[in-house]
Amino acid sequence: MCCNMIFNPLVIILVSLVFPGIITLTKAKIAGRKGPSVLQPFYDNIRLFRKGNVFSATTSWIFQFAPIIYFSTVFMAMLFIPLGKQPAILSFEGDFVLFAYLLAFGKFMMIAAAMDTGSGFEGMGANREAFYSLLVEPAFFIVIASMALLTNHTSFYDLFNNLHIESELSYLIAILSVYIFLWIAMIENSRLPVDDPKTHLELTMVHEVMVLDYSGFDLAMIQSSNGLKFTIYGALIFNLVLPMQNYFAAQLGIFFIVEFIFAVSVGVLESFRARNKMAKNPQWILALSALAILGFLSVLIITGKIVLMN
Amino acid sequence: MLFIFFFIGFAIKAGFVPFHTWLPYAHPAAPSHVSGIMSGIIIKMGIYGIIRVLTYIHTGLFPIGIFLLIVSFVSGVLGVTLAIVQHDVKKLLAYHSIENIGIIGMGIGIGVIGLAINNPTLAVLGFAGGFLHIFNHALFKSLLFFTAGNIYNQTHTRNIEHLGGLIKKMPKTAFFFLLGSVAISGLPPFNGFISEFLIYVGMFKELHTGDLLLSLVLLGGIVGLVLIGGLALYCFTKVFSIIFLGNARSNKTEHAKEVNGSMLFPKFILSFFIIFIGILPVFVLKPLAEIVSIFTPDVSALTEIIPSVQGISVSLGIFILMIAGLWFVRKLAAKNKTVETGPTWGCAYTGANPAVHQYSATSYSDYIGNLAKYVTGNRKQFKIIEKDEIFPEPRKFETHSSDIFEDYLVSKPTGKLLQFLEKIAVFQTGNLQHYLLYAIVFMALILGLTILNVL
Repeated sequence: MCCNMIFNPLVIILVSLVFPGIITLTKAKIAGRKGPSVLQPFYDNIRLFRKGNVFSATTSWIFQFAPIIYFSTVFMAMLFIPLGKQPAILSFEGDFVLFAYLLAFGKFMMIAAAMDTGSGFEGMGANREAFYSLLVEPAFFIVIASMALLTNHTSFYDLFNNLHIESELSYLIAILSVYIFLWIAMIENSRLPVDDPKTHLELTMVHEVMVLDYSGFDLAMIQSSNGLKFTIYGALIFNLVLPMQNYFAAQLGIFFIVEFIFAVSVGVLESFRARNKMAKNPQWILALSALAILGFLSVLIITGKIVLMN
Repeated sequence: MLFIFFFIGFAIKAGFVPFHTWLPYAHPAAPSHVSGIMSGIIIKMGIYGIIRVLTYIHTGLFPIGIFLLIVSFVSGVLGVTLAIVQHDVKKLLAYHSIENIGIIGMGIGIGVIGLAINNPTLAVLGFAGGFLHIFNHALFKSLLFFTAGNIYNQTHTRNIEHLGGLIKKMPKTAFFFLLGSVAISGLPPFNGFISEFLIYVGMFKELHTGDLLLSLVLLGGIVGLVLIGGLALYCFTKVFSIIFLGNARSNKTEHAKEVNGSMLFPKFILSFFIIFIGILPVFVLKPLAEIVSIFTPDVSALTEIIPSVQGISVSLGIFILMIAGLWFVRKLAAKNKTVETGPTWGCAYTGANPAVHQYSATSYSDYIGNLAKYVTGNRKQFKIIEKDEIFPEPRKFETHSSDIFEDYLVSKPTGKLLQFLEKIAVFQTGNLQHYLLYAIVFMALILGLTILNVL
């Protein structure tokens, strides 16, 4: 029992250590470079954890406290994630609401911390972060709502485990949901096409600009939370596509494969896609909610609430 | 029909959109502690009235529920949208009252729908969430108004564009304001989350059971709550950051210092309840069940939700322990390390004026101001630099926002009425002879009409 409890977090943390590395490596390979080791981001974090801090004179305790809260919220969110038949440590009715709101709390503190520096650039990033997360949130909830409608359950574990029982049609919903979750993950982690973490132009950045003034231990904490957040979304995607399986080892294998494919696709997407025009981002993000509503309508048809004429 | 009239009456009191226009003027005019009571208790009388009327209605509940839900949805979303573009801290909080009334109304609306379709789970959780939010709102809104009062007391301005960096001068006030902000945004581990959670669970649970219309209505409710939550986060990151963080934007904050203990004491009590309900919501379920049983005798849904609520307590317990643990680890890690202070990174440019080159409340709210310009009526006034203007002269840039409902429902009609009345005012000459003439004409008229047997 004890081993079961820590199994999910352990696996997710393990994957999160190499996840950013895989993205970087994929991008390097596509660009024709040799690329760093997949463990390089992990080594960087270790190095940062051992370093001292530099604080801006403008900042207050909010700035020092925010990374801790951010890390804790992401870590807590991880505890809500089941892996196939392996239930999450914390699972109850409506756990996804707490999941989403905890992540939002972390975001609140990070935005406040960015504003704490009194820098115009970081204010800009913070402002965008608040705006984009406000736009992307409905999509997540509508996807969950369609699954709740389909399965009549209200916790992550039950949603995922009852998704594919009644009919094969549910795979349609799963595919759509995977697509939406993929983009939600990209937006939440401020990757392309909403934001390009590699531009190094403060004016066009979202997430990266918010952490400009962080260093040492705090920066390491933020970076590790980002990797973890990405992996959590990967785990959600894994749960969506997992066919009914009872073999523990097979599940674990599929989990690693899904996370690997997810990381590689992020790398591929980032290599071949340009960043959206900043002013066009809201429309683009809202389109995800529109897609999610499409999914909801299809579920209404599947469950027979909308009766189609023959 | 009768309900509509009752509703309009009480909605003006409670501040539902579009009957809210008096609220943003009343709050800034009142002293802060009175604002707290106004927001916490007085506008809740409107909600109480609506609930009382609802207990007498037993038929046609479904359309009433839908109506309540739609009006509350609009109140919630527009209330917070209008709040975002405000610069007067108390006006902003007043608009947030409208938003929270929206959330309360959504809970009650969901509850009424549940009653109408004989779905006790939906009814119980909707009412419970709505009722709990009434209490929660009273707590965190009073806290926010009291802290806003502290700020006014020290800086003598309510315009947040003149503030900034107050966290260093008023750390305790800043802490309480942050607590209130997070709670009002409905984020865990505070009480606002619990009431929203109850409404959410009710809606998610019953998505499957009802018919098509119900599913769509519930989806609308879910999206509404999510939008309100997101907008509230946007708004309160703005107001907290602009008031307390960064650098001072004017010299008004120069002499600010922490208020004395007697002004802080009530905030400790409020904060205690905010955190208590947020972390241990199990204790409020029992009193809630008693209130909700006025509407539905079957309150088993509240007992069924206890495992969830305990799950929340456990999760938040771990969460808080983890924050404490990490803080400790961070302290340990910082030992024997160099900790330096320097200026904020400004792209290697050090000549910036820190007071000017930071984000202002206007720029922070610009996204929403533009997105919702039909509601907020955002206008920008500036002169474009002409092509042949080689040496541009100093310019001004002004932005204004208004409230579309106030403009079209209150200002324009009263304006029209005033215009009409002004035309009539030619009769009011102030000349005694004229007034005597009116009297004679009137008497002659009466006499004539009596003779002609019209009267």
